[in-house]
Amino acid sequence: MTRLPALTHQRYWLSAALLACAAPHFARMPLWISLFVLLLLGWNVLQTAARLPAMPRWLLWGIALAAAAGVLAQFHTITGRLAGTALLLTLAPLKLFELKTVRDEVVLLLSSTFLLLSQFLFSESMGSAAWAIFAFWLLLLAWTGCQEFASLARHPRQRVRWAGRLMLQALPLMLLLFVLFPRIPGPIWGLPPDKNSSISGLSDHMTIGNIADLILSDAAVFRVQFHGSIPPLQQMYWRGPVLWDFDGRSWTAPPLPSMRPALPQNAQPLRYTTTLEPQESRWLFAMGAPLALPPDSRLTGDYQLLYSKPLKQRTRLEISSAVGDTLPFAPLSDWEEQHALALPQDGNLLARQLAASWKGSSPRRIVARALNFFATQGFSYTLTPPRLGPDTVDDFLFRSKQGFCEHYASAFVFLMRAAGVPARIVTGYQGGEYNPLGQYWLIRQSDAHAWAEVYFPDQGWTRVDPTSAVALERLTAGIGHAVPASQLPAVLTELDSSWLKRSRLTWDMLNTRWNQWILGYDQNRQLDLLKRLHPMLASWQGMIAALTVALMLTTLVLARQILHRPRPPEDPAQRLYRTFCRKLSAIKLERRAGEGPADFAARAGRLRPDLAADIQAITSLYIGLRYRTGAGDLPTLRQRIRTFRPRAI
Amino acid sequence: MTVTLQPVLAQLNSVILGKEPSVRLAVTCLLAQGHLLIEDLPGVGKTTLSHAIAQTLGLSYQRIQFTSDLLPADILGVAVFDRQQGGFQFQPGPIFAQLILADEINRATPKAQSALLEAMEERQVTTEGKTRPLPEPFFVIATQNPSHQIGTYPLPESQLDRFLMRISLGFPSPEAERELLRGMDRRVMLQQLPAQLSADELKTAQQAARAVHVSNALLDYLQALLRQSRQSEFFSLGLSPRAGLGLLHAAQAWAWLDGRDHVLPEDVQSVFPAIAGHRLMVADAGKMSAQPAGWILEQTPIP
Repeated sequence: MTRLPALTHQRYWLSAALLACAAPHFARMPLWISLFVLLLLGWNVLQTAARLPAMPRWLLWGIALAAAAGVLAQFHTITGRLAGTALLLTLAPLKLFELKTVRDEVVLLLSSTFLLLSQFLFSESMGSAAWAIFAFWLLLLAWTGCQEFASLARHPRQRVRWAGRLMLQALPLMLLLFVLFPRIPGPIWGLPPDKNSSISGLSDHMTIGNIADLILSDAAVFRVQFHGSIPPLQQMYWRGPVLWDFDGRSWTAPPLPSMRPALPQNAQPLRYTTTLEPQESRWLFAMGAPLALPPDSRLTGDYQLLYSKPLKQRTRLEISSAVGDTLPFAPLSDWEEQHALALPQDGNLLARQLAASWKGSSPRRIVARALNFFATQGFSYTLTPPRLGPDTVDDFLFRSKQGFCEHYASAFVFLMRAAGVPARIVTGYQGGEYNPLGQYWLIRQSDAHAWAEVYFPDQGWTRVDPTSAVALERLTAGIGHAVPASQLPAVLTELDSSWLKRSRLTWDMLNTRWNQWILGYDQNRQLDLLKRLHPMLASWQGMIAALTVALMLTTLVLARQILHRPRPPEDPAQRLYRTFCRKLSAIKLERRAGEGPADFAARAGRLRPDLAADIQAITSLYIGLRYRTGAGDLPTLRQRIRTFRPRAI
Repeated sequence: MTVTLQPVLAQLNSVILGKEPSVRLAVTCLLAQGHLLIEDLPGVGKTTLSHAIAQTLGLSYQRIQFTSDLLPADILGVAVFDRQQGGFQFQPGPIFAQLILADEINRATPKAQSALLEAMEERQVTTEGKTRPLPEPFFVIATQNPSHQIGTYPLPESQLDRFLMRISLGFPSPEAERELLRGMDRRVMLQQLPAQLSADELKTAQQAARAVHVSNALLDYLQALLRQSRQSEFFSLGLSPRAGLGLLHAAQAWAWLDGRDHVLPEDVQSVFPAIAGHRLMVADAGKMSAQPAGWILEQTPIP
């Protein structure tokens, strides 16, 4: 086994590489693990720098067992994503203390590499990838310091160059593998999601205050790219859960009977691509009524577009919708009539009285009176409404008069039902932020909204947004303009500062591209791309074959480049002499590979005495250029060789 | 001062008959300031050649016969107690001469061999705690019997590398042998040989040889030869950088003897077998021709 040369520098490189590989995990690990790793790394550097005695073996074992026990106590297991990574994270730095042979160093480097890879179990973002590239470069740097490289690459600059060159050489292989390696639908590692990582969003249940909580989050929900015309901002209602049942405090979605929703006829289609961030729910947040169902999706009777399974991965879909205030007309079914008019048995008497006074008018008139009520009775739009008593609707309508979209929607639907107009609550998102750099719309949790849909006998379900009666700016300019700045969470006020806004937009655009082209390169896209290149490629056999051939070719090209260094530019005299030798070989005077020019001239002169003088003259000109100083006469040599025309006998 | 070695070569050739190439290599080796190893059967003129060189160049000459009981002190010298002076007096050994003939070097034990080889490399001798320089110029001609003969201690690779060249003389041609048989007794002849060169002139010649121009194209070729010896699967040991340096100096000396101010690939080729022959370790003798150096020359194209 090869003993290591005592290079203290190498220790520092190894520690730095390990730190770079471990660093991405620090944020998701319990604090003691990060501190433990940093402590070990620091101790190792100190030990190397101060030439302290090596740690005794029993102590190393003790620390390792204690670390494993700590991980077990923390996670109650040592397998699985988080616990497994934690175990590796705590044990890898211990290897630094027993570097005796090249093998030890390689083990440490390989475990660092594995540690680096494990960060992708948690995050596949662009930042993670960029960090991985940097950390891998550090790893290669450390790698060039071990094994037989060590004696060759003592100088750091040489090692930096080597590591860079190794990465560049790996680049074509990486691209090939990325494009051609057969994709498996879904992530390769079928890891169960961590229990505590629930992603909050809209649900089939709305208690007053739910949506106001969502507004505080700037997390992206989905991004939309329009193909063709873009509707005005106040038309952008992204429909999510539809809520029918009210118990006095919260709205819920009942199990729906099977209803076939009518698809819109001869409507102007609006086509767009939506890319949904991973979430626990299945709503696709379509705008209006979809014209055709995207793959793997289903449309409920109340026009909720649902995906076949929870959207746990980033999903990209093409949707075309009919946009407008109304949904396609269909007669009101019994189930709908029953649920759209249902109210709790008791409570909210004042609201019921108010609605009763409107009874008898046409539904449109009732809607107008209700909106007018909101507009004229001193209602205001706020993110921090006061707490409501048990009769939420009465309390809001006649006492606090301050509320958020969900208050307005809830009260409005209550009034409609009490006045005998079928109505329901729709939750979803409204508006979005346009990113001019990426030309897409970004919809965040802070765009969450609730509005109402009312059934008119002649028109069908029609959208009515009571919030518009109070705060029209909410719909036309976003939430930032609808409430006083003091009420806004920090994330929303920041958006106003222009350079900050710009950098946020740029970052989001880059991330979107990354998601779209790198992470979104799934089985379907791969097949699409390869089919366009060649139909034979679009099967896994074809991919494997193409991959094998391409890898072989790339390796050959790289090997050629590595083995055959670029030659220095050829001496012009040498080129001319080669021409001369070709002319002689045409008359069967072949120069042997190892034959010197003077020897060859002498031999050729003996064989062809008639040419001896010419051959001798040319050869001595050549020797003058090639082997002497200051005796060069290139033009004469060129001229002599050009006019040299030997004939065979 | 212009020096020519033609009279030297002519005189040596008049003593050693029909061996012009070997004689020329020996003189080249001297010019390149390297030591010479002559490997051949007894009685082909090894001793005569070295003696003739010493006489012709006017160098002080010592011969050391290596035997299995030779001790380092027999070569380097010993301190002897002097009664009159009342102290130890160093008696220089035979090594303190300008030209040493180390005869049958592979019959001595490694201990004695290394005493000589140390002196060759360092050009100084350290005994009894005192370092004494050897005379200038200092030139060792060692002879050895082919190593398969009985009672030999073959020189290890590291020590072989200290000899710039290894040559062999071989049997003379019938005509040369006839002339030898008819001619004067060589021992008498050697005693009558006049010196053709002074020590200063030799030094000038050595400097002039070092100054012969070497072009980049020639260095390319030289390096190609070294690379070939290192990369070929036939050799377990390629040529060392020291061998490469020696090859360069010898080629310069060869070109200078030819009266040229520049080195040609032919010069390298002429000295290459003598320089590479004893340094190349053939890995698989079955696959290799008898002349590994010649094989390398054939396989390496001249760029």
